[in-house]
Amino acid sequence: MKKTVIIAILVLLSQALTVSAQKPNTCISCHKELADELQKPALLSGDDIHHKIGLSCAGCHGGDPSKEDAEEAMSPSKGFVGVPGTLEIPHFCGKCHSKPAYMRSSNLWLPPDQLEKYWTSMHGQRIRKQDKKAAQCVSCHSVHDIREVDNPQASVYAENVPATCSKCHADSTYMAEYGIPTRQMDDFKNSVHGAALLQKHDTGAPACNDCHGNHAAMPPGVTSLGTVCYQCHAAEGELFLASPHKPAFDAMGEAECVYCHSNHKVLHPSDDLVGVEEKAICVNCHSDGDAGFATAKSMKEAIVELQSKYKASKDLLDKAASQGVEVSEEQFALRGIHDQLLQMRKLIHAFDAQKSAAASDSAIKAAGEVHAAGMAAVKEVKSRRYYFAAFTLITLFLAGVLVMKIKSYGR
Amino acid sequence: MNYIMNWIKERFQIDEVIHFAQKKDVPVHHSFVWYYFGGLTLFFFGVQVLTGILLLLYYKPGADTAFESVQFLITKVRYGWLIRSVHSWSANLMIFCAFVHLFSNFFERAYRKPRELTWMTGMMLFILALGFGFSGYLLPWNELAYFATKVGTDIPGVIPLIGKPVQLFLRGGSDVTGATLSRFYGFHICVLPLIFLVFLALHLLFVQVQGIGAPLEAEGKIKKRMPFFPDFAVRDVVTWLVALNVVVALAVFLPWELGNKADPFASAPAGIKPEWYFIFMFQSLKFLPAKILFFEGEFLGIVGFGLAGAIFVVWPFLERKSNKGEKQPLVKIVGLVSIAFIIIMTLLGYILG
Repeated sequence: MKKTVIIAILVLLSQALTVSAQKPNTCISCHKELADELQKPALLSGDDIHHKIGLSCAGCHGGDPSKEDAEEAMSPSKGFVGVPGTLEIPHFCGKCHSKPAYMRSSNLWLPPDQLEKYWTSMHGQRIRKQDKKAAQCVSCHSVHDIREVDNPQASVYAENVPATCSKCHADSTYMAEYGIPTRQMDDFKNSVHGAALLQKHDTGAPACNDCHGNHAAMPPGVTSLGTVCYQCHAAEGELFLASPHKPAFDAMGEAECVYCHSNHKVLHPSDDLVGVEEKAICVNCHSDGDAGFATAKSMKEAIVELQSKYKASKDLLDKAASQGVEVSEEQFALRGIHDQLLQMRKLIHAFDAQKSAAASDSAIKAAGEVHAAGMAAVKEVKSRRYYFAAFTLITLFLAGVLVMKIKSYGR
Repeated sequence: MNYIMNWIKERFQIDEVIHFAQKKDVPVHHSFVWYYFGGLTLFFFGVQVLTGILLLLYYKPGADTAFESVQFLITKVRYGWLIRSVHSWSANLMIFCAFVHLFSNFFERAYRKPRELTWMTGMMLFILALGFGFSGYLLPWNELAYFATKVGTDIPGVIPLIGKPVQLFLRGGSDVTGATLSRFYGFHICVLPLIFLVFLALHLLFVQVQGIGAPLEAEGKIKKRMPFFPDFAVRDVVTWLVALNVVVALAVFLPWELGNKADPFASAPAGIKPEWYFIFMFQSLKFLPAKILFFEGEFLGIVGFGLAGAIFVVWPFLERKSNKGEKQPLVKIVGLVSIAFIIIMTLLGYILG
């Protein structure tokens, strides 16, 4: 008897546990039966990060998903808030995302200051001004299929950010009333940053948000533009800030990096940018006779000389290596010269002819040594062949003598 | 000269040796040309010993020193590049000549009575030469050699029971490390040369005592015999001079590359292959399915090659018809199939990568 009671209790308990584990979500089951916009959330939500961490529809929209009856399930008395209006979305998401304790409890460790930052952004300020066209959370993150930022399918994954931003910012009709350009995406795609991010899939390359911010997105002003670039290009920034160009640019009201390198269309810099030739940017402001002109000229000359020495040495070493001479030590030294060449290009940002000359002197000396080693290697190849020719003559002579000897045996 | 000869004769009974040498001759027949390959193999072995000793003057075994010492040798030491390249090329040419010597004797049935032991010692020398090649390949401690040795020493690991201990013994640990390099160095410059010299001495002794055999087809039809000294010996020297020129030409025009230093933490570069004379086995093992009946495919492959090697070693005792002067068509079939298999598998190994 006792045994029967225990078994019956265990069976009932297991059934109760099964039922509670399979708690129905009537939001999904009903919305799946609906059409178009009302059906979409039910179909998308499976991939949503909120769904994955166990947050149900009611977690955002309120209501009681256990009720079969639609009115009962979506009753305001059950906390149902329905679909938020565009202007309400930041607050709607901020219910959780601005609460540090809640974000910690979900073990997500997301920063809880997105909403606070958002209100400082141009987008947030527009929303506050009741501009329904301004971007809010859903505009960038989508809705019901929100994925983690490191998920390549996420609209805010580094590689997808330019496309996400340009949904609005490349649409000239949509952006017409704001009076800002809409060719940023085209420029970015052709830039060195865009090529790295979109073609080489290097997610370390900057996307829109790396320069403009994300939740606190603002166009950097003339005075802060350099600071944006210096986040990554710190060495160039340090040199520029100490250079005579810094006060000159400030006085002219020109943005620091952008004047020479452009902004969205930053191209891979070539040596043509510097110097006093027609293509050089220096001649936009400097003319023959002034100090800047002389500095630009001497910096360019130093780079050109090192570049040509580097190329000549490389050609020699490649030739020697292809002919079998071991020149790995020299090739290692050549890499050092290449590094020095890069260093000299960086040093341009100091706009200091003396510094450039000092760097180029040591690099050109080192390049000369590698060049001499390359010449010796090529000479070595030639001498090996001459010695081999002499050796062949000796062996042929010896073999000839022996063949004569064999013939003399007559057997 | 006479004074020196007399001085020696007073102390040693070399008259018998001189008489023996004067009597020694070589049968002249249609397959005469193959005789040169035995001498060429011996010549390349001599080059190996000489250049090997010169390499030892600078080579420093060890994961931190091997590559650097070879690099120093070929860049800073006068003619170091030549010595290393000649050593590497000569090793390959030695194996090639050994292949030719082995198969030419096989087709000529030179293993038949009374030369069974000459054949067997020759086979042992061939196997030892492959051991020289395998152990020497790792010594420069470069990328290709490191990963090829890793693959090569992985292979015995699949043999049940003895595989893992053999692999552990070869590697000196669970992986290819500096300990493996020390072992291979020991095998290459001490263990293998000692064993090789014993078999070489026996092989040459048997050839001297029993004389140079003629092919089965030519037996009884030999009309002409050539004195070994000086006629054949001078011809041998001419082939050696040509061989020396070829090996130096290869060293000058195609110096043996050193490549990059081995990095055990780097991923294996593409196209890792053993030396060409192991490719046919390597490629065959790659073709085998993972499982054949209850056995691992690779295991069966290794057993197959082991058996084939063993059959070749004891072939004189398996093929007895030649002893009676009878024709055995199986010899031609086995020889041609083996050569075709080696060539096809080697080519596939290079084509398929």
